[in-house]
Amino acid sequence: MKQRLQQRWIHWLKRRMPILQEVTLHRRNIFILPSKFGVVFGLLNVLLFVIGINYQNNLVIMLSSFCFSLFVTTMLFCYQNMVGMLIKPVVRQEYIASQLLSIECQVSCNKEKHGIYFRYKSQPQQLVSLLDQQSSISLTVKEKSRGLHRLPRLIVASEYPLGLFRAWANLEFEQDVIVFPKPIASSQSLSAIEQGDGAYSSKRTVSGDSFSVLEPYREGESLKRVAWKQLAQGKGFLSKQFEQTLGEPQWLDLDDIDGGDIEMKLSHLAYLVNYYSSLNQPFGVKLGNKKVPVGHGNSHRKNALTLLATFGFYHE
Amino acid sequence: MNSSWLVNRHIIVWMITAYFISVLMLLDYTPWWILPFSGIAIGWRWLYVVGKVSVFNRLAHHGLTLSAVAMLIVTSLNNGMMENMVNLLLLAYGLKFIELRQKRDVLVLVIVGMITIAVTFIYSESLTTTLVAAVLVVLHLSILLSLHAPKMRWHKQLQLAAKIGALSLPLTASLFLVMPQIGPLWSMSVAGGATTGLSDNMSPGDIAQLRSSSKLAFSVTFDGEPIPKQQRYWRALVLDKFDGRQWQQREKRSRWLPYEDEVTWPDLSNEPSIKYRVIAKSSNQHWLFGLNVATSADNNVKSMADLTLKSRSPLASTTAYDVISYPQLASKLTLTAAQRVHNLLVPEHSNQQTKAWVDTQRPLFDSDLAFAQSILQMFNEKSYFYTLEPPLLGANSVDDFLFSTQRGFCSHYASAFTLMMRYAKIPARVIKGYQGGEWNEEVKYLNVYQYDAHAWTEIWIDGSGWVRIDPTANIHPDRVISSLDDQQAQPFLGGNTFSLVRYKQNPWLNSLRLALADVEFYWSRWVVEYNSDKQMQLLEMLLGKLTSLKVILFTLTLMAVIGLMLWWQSGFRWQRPTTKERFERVYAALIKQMAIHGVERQRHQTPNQYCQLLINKYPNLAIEIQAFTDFYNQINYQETTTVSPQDVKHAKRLLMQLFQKI
Repeated sequence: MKQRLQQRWIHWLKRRMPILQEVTLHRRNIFILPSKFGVVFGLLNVLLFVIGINYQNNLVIMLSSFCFSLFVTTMLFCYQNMVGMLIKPVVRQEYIASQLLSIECQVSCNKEKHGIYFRYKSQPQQLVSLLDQQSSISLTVKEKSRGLHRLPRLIVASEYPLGLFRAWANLEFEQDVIVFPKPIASSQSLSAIEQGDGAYSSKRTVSGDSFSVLEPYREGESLKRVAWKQLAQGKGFLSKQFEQTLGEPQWLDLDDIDGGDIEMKLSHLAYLVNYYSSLNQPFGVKLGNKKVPVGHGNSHRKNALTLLATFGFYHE
Repeated sequence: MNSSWLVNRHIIVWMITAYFISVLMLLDYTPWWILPFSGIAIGWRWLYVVGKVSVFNRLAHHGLTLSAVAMLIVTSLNNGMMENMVNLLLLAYGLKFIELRQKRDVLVLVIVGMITIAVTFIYSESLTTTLVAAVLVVLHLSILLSLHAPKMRWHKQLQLAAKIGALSLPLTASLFLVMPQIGPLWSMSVAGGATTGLSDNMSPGDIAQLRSSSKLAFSVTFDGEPIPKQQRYWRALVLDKFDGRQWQQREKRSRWLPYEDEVTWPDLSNEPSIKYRVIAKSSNQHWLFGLNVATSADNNVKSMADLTLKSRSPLASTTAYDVISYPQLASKLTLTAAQRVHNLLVPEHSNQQTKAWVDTQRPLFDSDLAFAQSILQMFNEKSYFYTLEPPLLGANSVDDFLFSTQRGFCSHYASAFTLMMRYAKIPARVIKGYQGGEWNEEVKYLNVYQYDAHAWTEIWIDGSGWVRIDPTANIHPDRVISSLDDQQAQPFLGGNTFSLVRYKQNPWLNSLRLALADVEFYWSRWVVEYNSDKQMQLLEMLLGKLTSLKVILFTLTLMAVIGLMLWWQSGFRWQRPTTKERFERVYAALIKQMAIHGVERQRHQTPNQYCQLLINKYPNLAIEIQAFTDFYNQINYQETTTVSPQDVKHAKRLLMQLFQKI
């Protein structure tokens, strides 16, 4: 029964607040109810009313009606403080399994907002006392296992101005995070690096005979390296950089890794990917029938780690 | 996070200010010993906030709390329930300053503060109290606000709190206006001991304290012309039992129960009468005020056998009642044998000198009245002085006063005169009440202040009934010590520099005082004294004849107006879309409709490209689609930037034609 209610709730939320990249708070997605203090204040209100009529004291009755009116007024102020906020979570960093995910939320609003709480579901909340036109808030999400995850609902809440009402919005964003496996060094993989071609055998050096990239000319470099053609095109002083690949490219294959648990194997692979990348050595990754061709550089590393992260999610 | 509110030191300042204002308002009802307790708590809190002391010692905290509770219990025995509640409230409020750790503690402090305001209203309902309470409420709201908007500047917080308060006022007022007036759910113990005004007995010297009070006792509005000044003797209490020193009411019980010997009223229909309405300030006493002979038809007012009026319940708040007085009725009433006996009783073995003197004097006159007049004449001619600071009197107070000190004020004269009458076998009694009052010509009401308190005598003359005699009025003006201003005791306002009555001579200060009195009068009349009758009266004034439909409609309209006002004030705006926006909407409708039919417009597509796409899909609609797109382009890329309503209409018509063909 409870589960069914839960499902209906989520279904209703989805219909009411479609999942988007960014969300503006408006009357359809802001909920507002008296806070705990509001309830206590309401009881005080009743107490005042009883005192007022029992002593036949009009001023106490008036104080009681005033407290009641405060509810109406602050409800509107509370809503107004929330409405119009544009919230956009930005996923930028690399996330690694069993580490807290930090997510930056960009918030923009047309006027100042006070006392807004942000939190991801089942995470500690963070109070932002004052929101200007443009602000960004970093939030954390509990650590996740390797794989592809949808961010949990973001809860934006406020008890401004008097704490009698709590307005909140339950937002779901169309934003997935890819959590890379946690790199774990294994004795086997370490020894594999040490022996054989070894680490240094495959290192790329900054000098060699294959052209790699054009970089701004630095004082003291040989004039032979100046890219005259580009200079003639008006692109400024650039120098040609050469490098040379040392050693054979490495193939990292899941089947080559020892160990029973597939997750552990992936962790070892992740370690190796990071290791080779730090050495700037080209490598390729092979997971069953899925491959990342040999390459190097940061984007290559990310592709490789993404393949490891999503292994078993999309493929096979 | 818990103590983030502490970042703003001004919250502490506000809380301390609010506490001190609350205590000041309840100062008359606060025992002195509460102040050191809360002083320690608040003093420590302040030093802690400025960083001079460290955390409050746990043991000291417990010690302080326990001793405070002990004090409460010890003092509670002598106090009424209400007083104990106030003490508890103020003590808890003060000691709470020690434990302000979390946000929750501040919330508790605010709630206790709000209850304290309500308690203040029980003691005083004057306009000043209300205004001070309004300041307190704004302070409390600011404290709450600063918890939820900590980054706001302090003056902005005050400003916004005041704004929220002000915006809540219309709804407050209308709720107050239309809310059904309900009677008490159960009877409350009144503020015990905290009585004001006259006391229920008279020993030499006790009216003098009242004479220095410029508080309002009651206000009167007359149906016709106001009665002349010399007849304004407002009877409150009849004291007919004398113990040689003190005058009391015959039966203690009779404070609110009528005497057994009820008065037999003659036919009242042809009697000349004076009709008026008295608005009595709270006194926590039962007696009411009226001119002789006062009767009232109000349910809560009883006419007593001694011709006074009593309220069924003590006046816990400002109360109004209607009175009809029959000034000439006294002579038509009878004195029962029992009453005659009661009003002739004299204590044995006291004031023997007076008795002897009366015994020698009485035979010299042939009528009771002549004897009474001879005594008044004596007060006038012999060296009797009027002073509010008379010498102390011994056990035989009347003997001492008449034959040795010869100095006193109304209660001395009334007491001596009444006793002399009784020794002369003339039924006599002391009346306590108020004499005079200040007539306000513009608003037509009479204000009677505490300093108008007075005591005089009534003697029974066969054929005339009870006759009022004011012995004090017969003192020769030369022997009135210190310069009295009329009968008002203006110089006796002594230390009370702030009382405006002190500045009666200054014309514009006096007019300011009178203006304030007017405001206060209207306040009591329309707010403090507001009840179901007034409610009906007001609604009838606004709506004409009342029907439930009208009342409901009126209430709904009121709420709607207030709702709209709040909606507007809290920052909502409804903006009519511009014609340009409406024009764009027409085009958006096309895109939406076509998306349903399977032709999605990509973001990069221009209207023309999209148009081509549509024509490919619906060749039969080519003309309409082309026409619509052309019109759209023509309007969008025209010279002037404005779009006329006709254009919008035309676009809609084109779109309709298109849709019909699909």
